[in-house]
Amino acid sequence: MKMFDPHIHMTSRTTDDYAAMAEAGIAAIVEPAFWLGQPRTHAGSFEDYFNGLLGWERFRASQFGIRHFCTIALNPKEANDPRLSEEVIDMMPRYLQKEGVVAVGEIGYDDQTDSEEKLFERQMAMAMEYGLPVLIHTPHRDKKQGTVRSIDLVKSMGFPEERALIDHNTEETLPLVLDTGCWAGHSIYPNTKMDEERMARLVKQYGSERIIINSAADWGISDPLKVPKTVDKMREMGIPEVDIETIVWSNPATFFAQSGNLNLEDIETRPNINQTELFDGNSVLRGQTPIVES
Amino acid sequence: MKQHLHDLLRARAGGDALAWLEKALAATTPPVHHNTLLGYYSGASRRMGKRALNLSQQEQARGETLDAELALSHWGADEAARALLLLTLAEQLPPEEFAELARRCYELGDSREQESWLRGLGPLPDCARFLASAVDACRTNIIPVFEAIACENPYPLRVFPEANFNQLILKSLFNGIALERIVGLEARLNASLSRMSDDYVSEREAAGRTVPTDIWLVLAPHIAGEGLVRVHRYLSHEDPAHRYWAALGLGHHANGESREALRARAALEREPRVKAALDGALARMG
Ligand SMILES: [Zn+2]
Repeated sequence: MKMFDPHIHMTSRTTDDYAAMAEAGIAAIVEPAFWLGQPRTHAGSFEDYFNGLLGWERFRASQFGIRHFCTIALNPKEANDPRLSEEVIDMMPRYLQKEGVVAVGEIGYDDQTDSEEKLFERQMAMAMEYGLPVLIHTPHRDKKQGTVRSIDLVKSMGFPEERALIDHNTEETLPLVLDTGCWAGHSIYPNTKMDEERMARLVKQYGSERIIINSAADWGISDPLKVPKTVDKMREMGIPEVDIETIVWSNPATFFAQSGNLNLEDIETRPNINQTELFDGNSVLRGQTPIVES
Repeated sequence: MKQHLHDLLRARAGGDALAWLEKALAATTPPVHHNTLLGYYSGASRRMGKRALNLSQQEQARGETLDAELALSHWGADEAARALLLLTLAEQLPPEEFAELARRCYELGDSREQESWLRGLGPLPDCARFLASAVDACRTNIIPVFEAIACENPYPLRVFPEANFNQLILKSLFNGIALERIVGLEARLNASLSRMSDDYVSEREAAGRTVPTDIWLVLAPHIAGEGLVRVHRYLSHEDPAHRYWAALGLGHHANGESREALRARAALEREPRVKAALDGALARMG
């Protein structure tokens, strides 16, 4: 089965991970811009990070036949650093017009401070201006309250609900999100957040509509194969194939296609590796005129 | 060139795309807001699309009168729009401000933007001032970005110093990029390139690995002694591609030392393409 991991931080992962993901059936991924573990102290570090997501990381993924998309934002944690926030916000419009940027994100609350809220709101406004969906991170601490506040902000701004994906849900928050028109993401983690079996039980209870799962794998203890592993668990627990396929492929694809930067037909096939690129250590076209795909 | 690109885009783009293009071009009027301009530079792929221009014969002919070595047919509409934007900007801004903004377009670009920028370097006024960025692009590990400067692009031929040009050739060989794709290669053959290529072949042979068949084109012209003996050996290699390129390379050899080897091979050669290359090489030597 072809799978989509719509939230994974590949910058922190190895080529072994890419190979295992491709082998397990992952054909497309979204890498949200987030915190790097170590706080950045210069706005210029964001510039290089964003450039890396759009350049090197996309190329790395393509070498394994995986389509790489990304989201761009000032994340909630670093939204609390006034040395950074204005400058990063100022550079964002340049990035929001680039190809392969499928949402503004991760935005949202972490400690639920005033400055987080201010930047959450400003970035939602930018998403509206540039016609992009949003990926909303919900906090680990005081999660339910943070989710309610996020939903309230979406509604009060008149942000189109079908263009908002609220991530890292649990049993407590999922019904709140499904009551709106927003999409509900679930991060399947080895220890925290959500595991495969709990996820399968949620699908049994709520079905597949607007439900999305991801590995949220990053530089911490996490597992880039959580999407395929959850697929196995859902099968084992008798969830119909059509629902599984909806959750791990059609839903994330449909959601991010709203950006205009993810073509549903294109992602049905493996990336067209440019004919001039390497194949088995050699150019496919030694000595012929290359055909560059349009 | 500016007019030519504009005409090519007008003949291809739809109404929305053209309206966007005119807005982007209008943003080049001073005072230029740099972030706005950078946004337009990025937006070209989404707005203009990436379809190759595929020039008609008439368009091709016109392009050749402007710059015969520019492979415009391979350029995407987005790339042509980016080049047009920079050419327009160059007319509007003082040289220093233009150079700074142009460099930012490269530094902040995603792969496709960087590829467009590198392909469009040649037509820019005083394009040699962007040499450092073009050389920097050769250090990338993103192969399509490297190809954008190295292949079907006359910029290295015209501007790169010998050392950088040689590095570009070596990197092409390492990455399996066909040397035929390097514009004007024959005009840039040099002794240290022959020496570097010869060392590379020794390294590959010592490791028991295959040798790129077209390496002889850059290796043979200035080689002597052991190296020349090796080229003569490859002139009888079982793979006709080796024989072909060895013949072509020897055709550029500085003196007549290889005449006998070429004649001997020509007498035995059955492969028409290789035979033609051998005859051509002998003819060059007179
Ligand atoms: Zn994340």
